[in-house]
Amino acid sequence: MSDKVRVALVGCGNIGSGGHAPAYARVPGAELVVACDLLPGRAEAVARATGAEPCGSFQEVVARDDVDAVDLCVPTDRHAPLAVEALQAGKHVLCEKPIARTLEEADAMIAAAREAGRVLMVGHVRRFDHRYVAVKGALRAGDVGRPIYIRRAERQWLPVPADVWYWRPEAGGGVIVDIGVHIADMFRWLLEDEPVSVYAVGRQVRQAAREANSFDHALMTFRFAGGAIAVAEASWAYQPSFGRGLYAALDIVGTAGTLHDSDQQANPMLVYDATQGPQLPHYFRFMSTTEHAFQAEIAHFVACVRGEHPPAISPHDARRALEMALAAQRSAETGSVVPL
Amino acid sequence: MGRKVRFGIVSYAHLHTPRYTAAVAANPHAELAGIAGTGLNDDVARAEAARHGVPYFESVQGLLDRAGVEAIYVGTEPTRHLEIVRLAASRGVHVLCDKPIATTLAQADAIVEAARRADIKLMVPFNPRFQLPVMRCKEELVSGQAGELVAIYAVKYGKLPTWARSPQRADWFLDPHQAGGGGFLDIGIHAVDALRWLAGAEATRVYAQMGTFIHPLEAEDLGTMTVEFANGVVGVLSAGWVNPESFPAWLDVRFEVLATERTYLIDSPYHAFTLHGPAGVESRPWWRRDVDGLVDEFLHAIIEDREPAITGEDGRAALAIVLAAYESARLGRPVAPSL
Repeated sequence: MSDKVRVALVGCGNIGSGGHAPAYARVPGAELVVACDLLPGRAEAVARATGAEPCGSFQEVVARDDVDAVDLCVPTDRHAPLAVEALQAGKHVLCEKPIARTLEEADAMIAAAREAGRVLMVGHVRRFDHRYVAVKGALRAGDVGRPIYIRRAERQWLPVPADVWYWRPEAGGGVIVDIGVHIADMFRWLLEDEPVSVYAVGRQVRQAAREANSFDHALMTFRFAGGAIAVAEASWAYQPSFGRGLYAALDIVGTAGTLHDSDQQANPMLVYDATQGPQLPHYFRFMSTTEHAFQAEIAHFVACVRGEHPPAISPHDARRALEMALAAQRSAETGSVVPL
Repeated sequence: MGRKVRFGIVSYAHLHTPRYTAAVAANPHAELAGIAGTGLNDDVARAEAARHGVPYFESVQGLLDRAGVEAIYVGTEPTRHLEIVRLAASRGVHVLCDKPIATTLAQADAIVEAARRADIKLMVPFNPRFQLPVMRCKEELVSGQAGELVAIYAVKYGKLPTWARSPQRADWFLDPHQAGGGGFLDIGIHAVDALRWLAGAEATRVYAQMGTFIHPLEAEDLGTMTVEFANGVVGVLSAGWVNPESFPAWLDVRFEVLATERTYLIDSPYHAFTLHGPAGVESRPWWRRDVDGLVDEFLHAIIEDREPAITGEDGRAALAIVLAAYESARLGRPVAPSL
């Protein structure tokens, strides 16, 4: 292995090109050597911006000796096949969330990582977001006592048409799987406890959701073993302008106090111009995340590859988040409480 | 419309009573005519009568017989609502009955029936209906400007009632046998009514989780509920006595309303100013227009001889949803409220 961990970015779409690719330049231990995408032009665009080499074939990427790790930013149902192939070829894998589309696929990835003795880390980026790291620190310090209730909302207008994989149940799973895993993992991470049940209600609000027959608005209630209640709202059905200025809200009630954080507080500026009403400024491409979060996530992964520590988010954690989201999906489909 | 309604106040058991007394005394369509005690906090009731310069009565009967009132506000423990509404109804006196309307649906039904049979006005004051941002939201849902209502997330958090800086004793709020429940009922029922009002439909399915987490209580201090309405609207409400003493306001009230054309984020519908004093930060409302609005609506319903904006049936429906939430939490599965 050379001095730096040499990474191939696989998937140069939204998250790959806008979230991950620019972060590599700011991680000293990493070098982005290849940008790979099946669609013509996308790999080249990332290559031009980063100095990586463009490539149109995943097989070529995993065959290369100068690639230590792959960073998978591909549709959810492609995670397992590509991750397993990369692990079997001896590559470490950083994989976007959710870990996979099904638990069986997640198991296959975890087994492949174990057999290959390589790092498998799932990019649950909230765990590397300085805002939530600070909240976690406050909870750990006991600043609100024991947390007994969390409400988390992640909501926006998903800006892609109905035929894009996010909407399709078999590919992305809809909002409960795609966004639900973020919230599920945050609940487990912040509460340091395991869920015992979930009840969820889903809605098809936008035409795209009805066409794809998936949910774009969901309300989920998890109960945890220690008694804590966790309420989630995941939505792609808000107005197009909503997610540009506001995305998330987090409310925690503890036995000794409460904690409230929302993008309204993180966005303490209103902008006016001649034609529009008050607008909230938009600092980063993804309102859900900060640029620092992807950088911290990739730096953490690189340190894992170097053997400095195991991933702070284990594949088991990522699998559990998927399990919670799939249970919520089942609850929303059946109307029943689903045990976990 | 120069007419004034002669108005009586019954009981200072409820922490709301002083606010209603003040609103009645200030309203140009009302004349405060007397105050009756019913046991608890009668010392406060007596002092308020003296302060307002109106007669004090040892019983509701005395107030109804001798003060010549046309309408009363009832701020007793909710288990006593039925006896007082029946008494008022028998004399044709209109009733503004504080929430919850009762602690059981059987009592609520009897209250509604007594009022209907005597043809008196019966109103249950739910504050959000007279809070400007919530009213605006409702207007835009009704007019169609907001598109189709999809979902509402509501928060109604307060402090423990016994922390109130008031001469009134409020221990009964913490006793579910007198109050009918705990923090979810006490503080949440306002938002339950608001969800039902904004949805414009009846609740068909309720799922809830409750817990006694913070205070040494018999009932819950926090509950969260998912409620589905017949028209597909879904609401989530988290409510209880969870605000720490240091919280800058008594209440944390929020409504997040998603409709297809508009989203409304209502964070504290009370207009308040922020005061940084030696005792810490305080958010102090400059006018409780909701209480004035509720009293004014009740008076206008009497004067104009029409249905009040919030009926006894509305009070009963909100109670049915809360009781369904309790049942769901007990059973661990969704239940249908008793319509």
